[in-house]
Amino acid sequence: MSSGTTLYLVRHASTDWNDEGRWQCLDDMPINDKGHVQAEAVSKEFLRLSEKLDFSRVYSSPLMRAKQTAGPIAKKLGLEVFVEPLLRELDCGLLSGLKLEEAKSRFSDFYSRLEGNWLDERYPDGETHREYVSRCVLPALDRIFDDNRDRAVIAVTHAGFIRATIALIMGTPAEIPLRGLCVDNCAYFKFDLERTDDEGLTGRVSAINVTAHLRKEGL
Amino acid sequence: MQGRSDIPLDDKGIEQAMAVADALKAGEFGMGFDAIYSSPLKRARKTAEIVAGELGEEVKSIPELMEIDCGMISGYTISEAMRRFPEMVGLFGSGLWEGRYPGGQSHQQYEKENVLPALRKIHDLEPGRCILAVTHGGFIMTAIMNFLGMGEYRPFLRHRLDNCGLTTVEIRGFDKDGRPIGRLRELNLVLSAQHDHIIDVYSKEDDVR
Repeated sequence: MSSGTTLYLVRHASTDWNDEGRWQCLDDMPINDKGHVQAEAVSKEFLRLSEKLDFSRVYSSPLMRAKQTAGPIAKKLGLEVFVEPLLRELDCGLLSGLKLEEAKSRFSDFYSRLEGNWLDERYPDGETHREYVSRCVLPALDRIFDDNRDRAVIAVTHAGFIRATIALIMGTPAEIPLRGLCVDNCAYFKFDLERTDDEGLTGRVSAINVTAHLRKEGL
Repeated sequence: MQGRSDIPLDDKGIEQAMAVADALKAGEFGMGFDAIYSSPLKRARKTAEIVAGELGEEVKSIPELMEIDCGMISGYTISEAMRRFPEMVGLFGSGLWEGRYPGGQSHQQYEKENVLPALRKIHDLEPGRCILAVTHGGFIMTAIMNFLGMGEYRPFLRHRLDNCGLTTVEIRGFDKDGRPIGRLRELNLVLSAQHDHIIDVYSKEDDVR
């Protein structure tokens, strides 16, 4: 008999660098005042969802912006935050800290190569998307699935992780960056996961970028 | 599968539509609409009328918001259809896009004849406004393909769309091929769990529609 897991992925709350449109990646920025309000709103949403769903665990990326978002959620649910290093963001190397336009002008060669080779082009002094998926995204999903069979579980992570998971579970080509997919701060994404016969992960995306809880608060 | 068979809402469907109408009115989804459009099929039209009634709006009809024409498959479950029409097996996998339903449309044809014209019509009629369009699973799946940024790729997407689930796309314009330029903002926003008794039971078979 197959056993499934319901996974909610939450993107961390806003930081100043998010609001300024800067690459952030592994730089460890805290959430800002707006971020704290978003984190409170998403924690209330999970408290509401917990009336019908028994959440087994709240995972967080090791980065501060994720832990600060996971904290209020875990507290509302009476759980501890479980830090999972594999939930980190992609390592974008030297791009981190730069605004998009600055990054594009300073690393124009990289950007033009990335266009046709999104999966395998290495971020300057960083990693490739393919490396990130195999080092972090796949093993994190495996671990979370195995430790929470037949349960509902929450993981606070990053836009890069969420995009990769959408591609993987929804079945879009891995070499396509899904630029039209919105991944907002404190939005949640819902996945119904199960094992395939050859021990891979499959399932279905059952909600994308849910932000009603933020809109209701005027965020 | 229903396709273009004009099956009306059942009691549960009416209850779902009323629950969504109430939730929209109460601001539960944090969204409001400048106008409401609907597919002419009864199940959509009735849903739209219930919501519009609650919000004090009129329903305008756009024929292109209609579901895909699945031809002779209409009335069968997916597994029945696959037994009866062996050519269907490939269609519910990688052959989704080009494969034509026996006696009906292909998804490719449906995109060109229905989905893109409907999006264009709504965009042209209601520039800069926030519009509710009540339509069908096939339409929403085909539409979101155009907003993910996948270019020409049309893979078989594994996602869920509940009855009365809300999906939001942002249309900024259209390219030279008539494809929308924009973003997928939210997919399958559903009623809260207090409505559990009318929320869909989803089976594996619903992976296909």
